[in-house]
Amino acid sequence: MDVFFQALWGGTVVGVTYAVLALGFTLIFGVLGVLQFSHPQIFVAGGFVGYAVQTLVGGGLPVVLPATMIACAAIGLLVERVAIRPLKQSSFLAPAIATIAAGIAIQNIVIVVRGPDPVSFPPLVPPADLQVGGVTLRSAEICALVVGVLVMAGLHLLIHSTRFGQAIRATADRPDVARSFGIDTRLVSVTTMALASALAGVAAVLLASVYGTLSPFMDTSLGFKGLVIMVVAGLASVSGSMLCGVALGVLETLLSQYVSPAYRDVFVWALLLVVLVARPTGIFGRRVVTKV
Amino acid sequence: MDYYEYLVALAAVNGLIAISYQHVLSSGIMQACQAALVGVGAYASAFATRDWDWPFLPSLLLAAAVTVALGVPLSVLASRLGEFFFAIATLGFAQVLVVVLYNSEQAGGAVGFVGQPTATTAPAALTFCGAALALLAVLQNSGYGHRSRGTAADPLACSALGIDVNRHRVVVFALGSALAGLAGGLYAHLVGVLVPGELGFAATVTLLVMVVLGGITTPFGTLLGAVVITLLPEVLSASDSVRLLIYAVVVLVLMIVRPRGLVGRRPLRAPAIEAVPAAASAVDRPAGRLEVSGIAKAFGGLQVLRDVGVVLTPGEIHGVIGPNGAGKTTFLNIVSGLETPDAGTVVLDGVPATTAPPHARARLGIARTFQHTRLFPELTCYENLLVAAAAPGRSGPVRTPWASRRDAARRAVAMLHRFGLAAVGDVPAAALPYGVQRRVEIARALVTRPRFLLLDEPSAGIPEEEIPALAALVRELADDGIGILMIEHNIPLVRQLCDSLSVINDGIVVTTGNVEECLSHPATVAAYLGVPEVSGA
Amino acid sequence: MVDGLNVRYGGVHAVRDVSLTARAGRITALLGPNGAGKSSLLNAVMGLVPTDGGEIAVTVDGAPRSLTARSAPARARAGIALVPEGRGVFGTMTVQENLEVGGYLLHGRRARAARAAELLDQFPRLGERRTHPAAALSGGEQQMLAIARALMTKPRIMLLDEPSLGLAPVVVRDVVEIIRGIARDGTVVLLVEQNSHMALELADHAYVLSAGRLVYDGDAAGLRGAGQLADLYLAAPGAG
Repeated sequence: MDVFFQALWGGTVVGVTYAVLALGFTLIFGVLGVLQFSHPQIFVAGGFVGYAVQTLVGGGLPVVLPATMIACAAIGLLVERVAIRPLKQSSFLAPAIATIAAGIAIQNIVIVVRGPDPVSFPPLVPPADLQVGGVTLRSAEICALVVGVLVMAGLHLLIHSTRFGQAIRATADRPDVARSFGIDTRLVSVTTMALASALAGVAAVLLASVYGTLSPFMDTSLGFKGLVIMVVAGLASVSGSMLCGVALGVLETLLSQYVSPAYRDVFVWALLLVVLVARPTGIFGRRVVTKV
Repeated sequence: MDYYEYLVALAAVNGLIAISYQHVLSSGIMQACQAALVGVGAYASAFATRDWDWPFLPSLLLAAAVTVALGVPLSVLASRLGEFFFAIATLGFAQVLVVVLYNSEQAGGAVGFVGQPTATTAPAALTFCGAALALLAVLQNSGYGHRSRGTAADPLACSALGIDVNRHRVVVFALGSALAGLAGGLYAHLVGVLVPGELGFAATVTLLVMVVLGGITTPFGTLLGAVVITLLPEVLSASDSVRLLIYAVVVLVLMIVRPRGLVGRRPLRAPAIEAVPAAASAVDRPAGRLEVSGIAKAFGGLQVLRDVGVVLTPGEIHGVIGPNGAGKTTFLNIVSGLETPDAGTVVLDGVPATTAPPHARARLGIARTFQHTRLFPELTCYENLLVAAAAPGRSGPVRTPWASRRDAARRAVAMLHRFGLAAVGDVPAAALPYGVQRRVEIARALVTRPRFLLLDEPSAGIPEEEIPALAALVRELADDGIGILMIEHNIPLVRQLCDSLSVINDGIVVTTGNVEECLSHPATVAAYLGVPEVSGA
Repeated sequence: MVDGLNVRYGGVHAVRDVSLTARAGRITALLGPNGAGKSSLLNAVMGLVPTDGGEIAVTVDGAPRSLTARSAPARARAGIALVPEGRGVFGTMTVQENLEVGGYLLHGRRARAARAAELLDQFPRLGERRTHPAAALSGGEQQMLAIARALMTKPRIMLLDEPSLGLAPVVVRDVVEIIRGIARDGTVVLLVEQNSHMALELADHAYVLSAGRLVYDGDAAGLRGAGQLADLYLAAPGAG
């Protein structure tokens, strides 16, 4: 049973970081209507910013986290300005391709600066272990869980209980009606982009400090997971993304533990397919009504 | 093989892969596993030549066959999932394939598959790529190509024209898979070592960049995109990541400068065929009867239709009026098969058609237009008509592809002349004034040679000075023997045109029969002018 | 207030040289058959669709102020509120939240909450449904919500686009009373309706739009007579 609980714990921690990453995807898709394919590369860049800040300046989590978030928000704004805004009117695919290119650019800037090899990520909180029953909780994991949950709770509060959050939701739902009540939907879009990109930074710092290592090539598998979470949760459902992220992390870990680490992704995909066929709008999604 | 020959061969193979993907994407199938399908072909043929001692060429055939066998079942999911989720599901399929190959010892696992002969020469690669390009170029301008462009632009309008959209997509997917498998076989015998990572999401994304950058509307554009993307990193002499960085910037700039790709498809121009006598299209039409009765339909909790019916005979114009929200369009959707009623029947010539899908009804001779026109916006007026001509019609003589293509062109041109559209035949539909778009839509419906035509507010949005011409046209169609069901708000037009009328309000037919009697019926006045309650309770 | 307005989109010239004025405390109705351009005109006044020539202005205390070049949010700040066609409620948000978005321009959470509470009192049906997502409301309730939401900022000018559409007659009665109340409070009410019976019962002044042009401009009472409107409306477009 200890093995089970250890896996459950590890999966929950990783899943929280997935959820934070996927939330960014979801927010951008919901508000800007664009698949932001460079989101995972912003994650990678964020990880390396965090690494640089900690090795050059130090200060641990309280310094690294805000610095990373600011850097990622800035990158996100740049992507919005360069790759999304000029192409939003042309088609669905054009901005997606442009963000793919932006992602390749971001990733390779990281590689040019830091090299292609993985780096070991310095601890942001003093390393320590806590034993609960037979389960070992590392300080980095506890920290990731706490920060991740706090960030998600904060985002939930922001979206559901503030004026700006209502503006985000109104813009995602009916942009024209939102404008008629005085909401500057372009400002909402830009701010959402910055916020979502900052979330990628949070996910990067947390995941890197849990793994203790960081590679510029983490983008592909994470990007895929982010997409899967967004779709399974139902496009543009924020609370759904949170739950699905955690569920995916736990599921992955348990599958690796008990079934086969090698074929883990096969099961995840099979599950995804079952969900899609059974509920084509995602678990938490709304049914989209098309009118003739 | 020297470096330059290798580059030529690689560009040709990549070109073949890219046009196989373009073929699928440009039909509106948002699929994200083309690289994985290429990989299936690559591994299949590499196993055949290395382990089973097959010669090279048969191994390519095997590659194509295996890929089709895997791709076709996948494509069936497309209609179930819808565009976006299908893309995600295929993405997952690619990831699974990568995982399986990584963990397969026979396939070489993460190290890669080696030992197959390097049999793909530059001439061989160029030959296959050229042949595929020629095939796709021919198909692009055939009925098959018209159906593809139609389904990509508006599947619903296509099914109303008689095209079985799902079936067409499966065929497109099969051809795209065959070409991908073939290309995979060539690739396996070119590079010497196959790595599973090359089949995943990232590889498909690179293919997508080739397609969109080069131009998604034509294989020629895509081929150019593939060549650019293949050679660009090679001509840049710098470290890998700087090269990729420059590559990314180039792609970004090209996308912004040419968001529709480097090369666009040249639209087909209407050939200069003399107008054929209009009567020719009217002769082969036997008499018949469209009977719709007892239709009920609810959406969610809202009972839109309770009991609506109508009988339509050839040559008759039957009007349907009623206030907004009365359920008129829903009724039309049910008659044309876009929605299934909760109760009631649609019977054509005594044969029940209530559950027949829209494309089957179109083939039985029911055509329609839409309240908000649903032309294919980027296709020219002439090409819009060609899509309709490419729909499989009611049984007719078997023709060679060339003859049927000539016939389709002739039908489309004849219709352009008849509707006074010859001058705008080569103009994209979206660029036409709305009134002209309405006419194009009616012309497009008529290309399918319907016996019954359903018009949803034909006069809405068109300038008043064009209405008399529209009226004359509709009258002429009826005189040709077509039965016309017309939803209309313009009462004078209804008065002028309709032989009989039904007034729908609140989901029921409140009165039907003679036009003037219906219009002066108290229930009509109440429904139309919104008298809140009929007193006398 | 609206002068020589033109709206085009795609190939459609939806509104042609239309001028109209709506005054405070009165209900001005804009009638016309489907596709006459009524909704386009309201959306143009709100700033949601671009206009192609023409002027839009509000006059406050005798001082006219042009809004022609202003964005939709700026027009909202100038006191215009829209009840869009088809209600346009934010389906995923609760009744309370819909109201709060309506009051987006009010300063302070407390002001928004207080005004929302006032309106929930005024619309008891919505009060009962305060925490329900708007998508789960009935058509009539959604219409009430759309009206209440537009009232959040106590707008000077209220644009109502087909508020009776798809509602049961009993509910239309309620909506009529609500609109009457809004005008009584000194608000400019510009009402677009297809249900001419309801609109004429309500309105002081009426315009009739047909195929993008005005074909009637005058007292609403002048259209109440039997057959008057039917002639304009069911007659050849442009005949007026």
